[in-house]
Amino acid sequence: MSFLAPFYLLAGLAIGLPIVFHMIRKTPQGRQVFSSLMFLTPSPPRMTKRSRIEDWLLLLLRSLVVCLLAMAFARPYFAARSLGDSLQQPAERLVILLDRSASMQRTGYWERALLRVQEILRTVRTHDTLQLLAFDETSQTLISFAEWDQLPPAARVPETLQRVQQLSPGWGGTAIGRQLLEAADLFGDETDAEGSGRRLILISDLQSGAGWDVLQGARWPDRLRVQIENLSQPGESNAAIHLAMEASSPGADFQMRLMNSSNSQKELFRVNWQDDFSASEENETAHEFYLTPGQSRMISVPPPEDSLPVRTLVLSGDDVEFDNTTFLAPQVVRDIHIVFAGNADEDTGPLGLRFFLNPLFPDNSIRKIHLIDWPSSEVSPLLETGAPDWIIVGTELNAAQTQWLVEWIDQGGHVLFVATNPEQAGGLYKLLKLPPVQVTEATVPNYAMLRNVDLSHPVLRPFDDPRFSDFTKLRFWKYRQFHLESIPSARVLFAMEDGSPMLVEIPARKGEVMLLASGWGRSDSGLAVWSKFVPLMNGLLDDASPPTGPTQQRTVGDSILLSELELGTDTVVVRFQSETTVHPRSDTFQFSQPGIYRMAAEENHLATAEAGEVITIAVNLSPEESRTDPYAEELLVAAGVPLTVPDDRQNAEKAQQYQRQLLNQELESHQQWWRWLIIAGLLLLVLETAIAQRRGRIHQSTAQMV
Amino acid sequence: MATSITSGPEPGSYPPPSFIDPATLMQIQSLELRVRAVVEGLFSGLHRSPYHGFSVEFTQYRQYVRGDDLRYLDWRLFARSDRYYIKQFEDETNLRCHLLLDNSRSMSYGSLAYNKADYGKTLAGTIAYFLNSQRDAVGLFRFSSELDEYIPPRYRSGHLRRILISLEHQPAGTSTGLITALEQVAQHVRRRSLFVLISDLLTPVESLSSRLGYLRATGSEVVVFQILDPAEISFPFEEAAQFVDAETGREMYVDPLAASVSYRTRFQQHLDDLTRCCENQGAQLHRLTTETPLEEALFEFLKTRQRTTQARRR
Repeated sequence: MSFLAPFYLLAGLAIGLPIVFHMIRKTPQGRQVFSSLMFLTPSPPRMTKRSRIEDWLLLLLRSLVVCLLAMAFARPYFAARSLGDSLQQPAERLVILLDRSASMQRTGYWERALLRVQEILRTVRTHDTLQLLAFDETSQTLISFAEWDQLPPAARVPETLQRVQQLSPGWGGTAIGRQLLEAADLFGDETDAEGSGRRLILISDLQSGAGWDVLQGARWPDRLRVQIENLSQPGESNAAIHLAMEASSPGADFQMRLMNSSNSQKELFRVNWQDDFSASEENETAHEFYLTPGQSRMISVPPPEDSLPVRTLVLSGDDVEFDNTTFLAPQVVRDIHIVFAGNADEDTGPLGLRFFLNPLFPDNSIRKIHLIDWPSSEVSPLLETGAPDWIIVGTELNAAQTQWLVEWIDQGGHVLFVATNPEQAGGLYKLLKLPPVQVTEATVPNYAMLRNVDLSHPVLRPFDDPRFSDFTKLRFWKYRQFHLESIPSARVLFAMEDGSPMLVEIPARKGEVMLLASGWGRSDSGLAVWSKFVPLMNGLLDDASPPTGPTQQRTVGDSILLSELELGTDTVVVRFQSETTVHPRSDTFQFSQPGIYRMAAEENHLATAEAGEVITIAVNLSPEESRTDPYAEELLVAAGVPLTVPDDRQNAEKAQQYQRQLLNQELESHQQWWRWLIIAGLLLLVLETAIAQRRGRIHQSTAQMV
Repeated sequence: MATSITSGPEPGSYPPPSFIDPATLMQIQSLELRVRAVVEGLFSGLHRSPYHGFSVEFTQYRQYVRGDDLRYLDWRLFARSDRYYIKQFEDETNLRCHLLLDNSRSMSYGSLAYNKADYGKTLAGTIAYFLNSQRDAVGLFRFSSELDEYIPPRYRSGHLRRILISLEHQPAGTSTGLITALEQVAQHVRRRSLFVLISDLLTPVESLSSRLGYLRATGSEVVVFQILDPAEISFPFEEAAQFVDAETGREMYVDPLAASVSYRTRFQQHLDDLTRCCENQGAQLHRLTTETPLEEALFEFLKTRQRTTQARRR
């Protein structure tokens, strides 16, 4: 039984009144008129206590009447079970996403995040289900739906809290967008009851460099609400420095990118090389830079005077420390030998091919290009270091040269065959060991353009972007027409508008021949002045001679195959800071912290600084992690994220409470128990009166008899 | 001087004796005529008045003093002696009696079939009738909280009836205005008279004493009848009750078991003070309960007056 106005039940306390009146009775006060009170003194009123209840039945009846009346005023009703169940708040499925990326290393952020987790866990009800994930670029399940359900209700929250407290923020980047979508998929898989709530709670600093782009236009499961618990602090100045480009030569400046967050309050920053052996904290070699908030710029940092191979660049002047250190490892420079078979005397003019080769393949920090001319007088390109990496054929080869080249292709060599004229172009078939087919010079009235660009090829894939996929500016005046039917297994990378292939990839035995149907000399085409020509040719070079070995600059979260290191042993010793670990060669090693990693075949090699024996890799934070200015929640709403505000739940509870009240009133008005209670009370009163009268009469007659 | 409380063996039946009780009157006539023969004014012609009036029987001359009535100046003696003399005569006068009747609400209390007011009225009427039958001038001061009515003393036909009608008024007022009434009486009456005060005298004795002194200052004789109810003396209550003051209406919770001793003590103290006060002021106090037969009261009164007159003559 429930009551619509339960406060009226307090009136039931009035049953104490008859008892009190019964137990404590004041002496009846008569009135006595007297001539004068001048000789009288007032007496204190005398109360007489009667500790014995004389008439239990009457007392019981009167108390019952009071109780019935109190109950009637409290408006009782019997709540139907079905209605009560329907009014119970539905169970909720909760997924909590806890950000543990490197930006959470900032002071106070992780503590606030743990507090939020505790607050949320406190509000979780017994019939709710919860999954908690910690994420940076990848996610880690701390407790799953299944585990939550298996745990006894009393142990769920403590167990979850214990697991969360064992966690600490990592150094990885943030992939909030991807993690949000993956967490939302957890709801999609569940066949939860209709009407139950689905809530995804994101506890994060909402840094702008967290990969929000993937949320654009994403589809969200039905009834899912995303609750954002924003940990960001306003007015926090953060600047970061990252390596933009390595010094091209040993003495050159480092090209660094300096970034200042948009909510920063500071503009002056200092950059200096860390010197662990310096006694003074103030480094005299510090460089100062001004940068307005929200901007980034390239700065040139001169190399330090010492000759240490590993360098640490430290930024100061902002409030946040976690991203102020950049580690730089010495790069291993690779020698690349490109053999050019062509007319060496053409190198003085832009009409020939040789003229453009030097600027096409510049040296950089990781490679050194050696251009070697292969004159027709020599059968083979003589190289001191061994085999060439790539051979460009731009002239008609003699028989001996052709024979050598065929054998080289048989061994897996890569050749770029540039058809400079129809006669020379026929030499392709000799290299491919195919029957010769006549190649004709195309008739070009004014100029010819490309069509059918195969952007799926690895060489052209960098251009697979609307910004770079414009090939219409490239004009050809002369080119050679090959018949594709004559070249089996050829893959056309792009073709001319008349259908004849321009760039064709032709696998040949173990090697590969890349055919270019026109030269890049100015008399043939505009290739040499085409903006995409340099990346295209370097792409072809990389395709022919892919870079081997690890990149010396890595970001946290990257992983490498230890087999790539070519250390020649079955195990690899890795030293990070002072900790040394040994890994099998077949393992994949993941960089989990920023710093310098040294890898060698044996542990004693680590003490040496030999470039061939020790591989040094500098691992830095993801540059995106330094973009700590908070991402606007309005942008999330615009992206279609079904955000909820914290008040929503309270409002829903209020509305539900109001609805429950209305239903109770309706129930009560249907049942109207109060009428019956009042009737019963009146009947009891009549009975009580009758009994009291009868008792009174008996008492009177007894008194008279006495 | 009688200060003891006189009470009869049985209370009188109700209604109380009429204002003019023939039996009482007869008893007095047969007893009192002689007793009061020598008393001034009690029986006309049986005595010589002690007061100097304006009768025909000359007594003496007296030197004129300023303020004397010039009507009584002896012009012939002035012509002879060139002195101013006032002629004084011994006048055979009747008694001039003022009845002072307390008609306040405290007099309405009575534990018997009649109350103190009924008793007091009967007593006053009896005295008035008696004196009237003796051709004495009788006046009436009836007061409650203040002076309600004043009837000057006269002896004429119908005057007694007027007094009796005035006596019929029911008690009124919220307090005993005895003190005030006595002050007003002293202002009204400057001649020597007989004052008969009929009251329960439930008022502070200190102030009463001075007021009685006012009356006595004129050489008047004061007789006080204190009328009390038997319950006021014995305080026979047993049940605790809310006692209500008959005059003021003030209420007080009193438990008689606890308060009776104190009441009796204080009441007796009051009576003693009152007795002492009357003795000091030369007033004759007669304390009557409402059970006392009126004949006895009147007889006591006459006896006392006789003693007074005899003492004065000596």
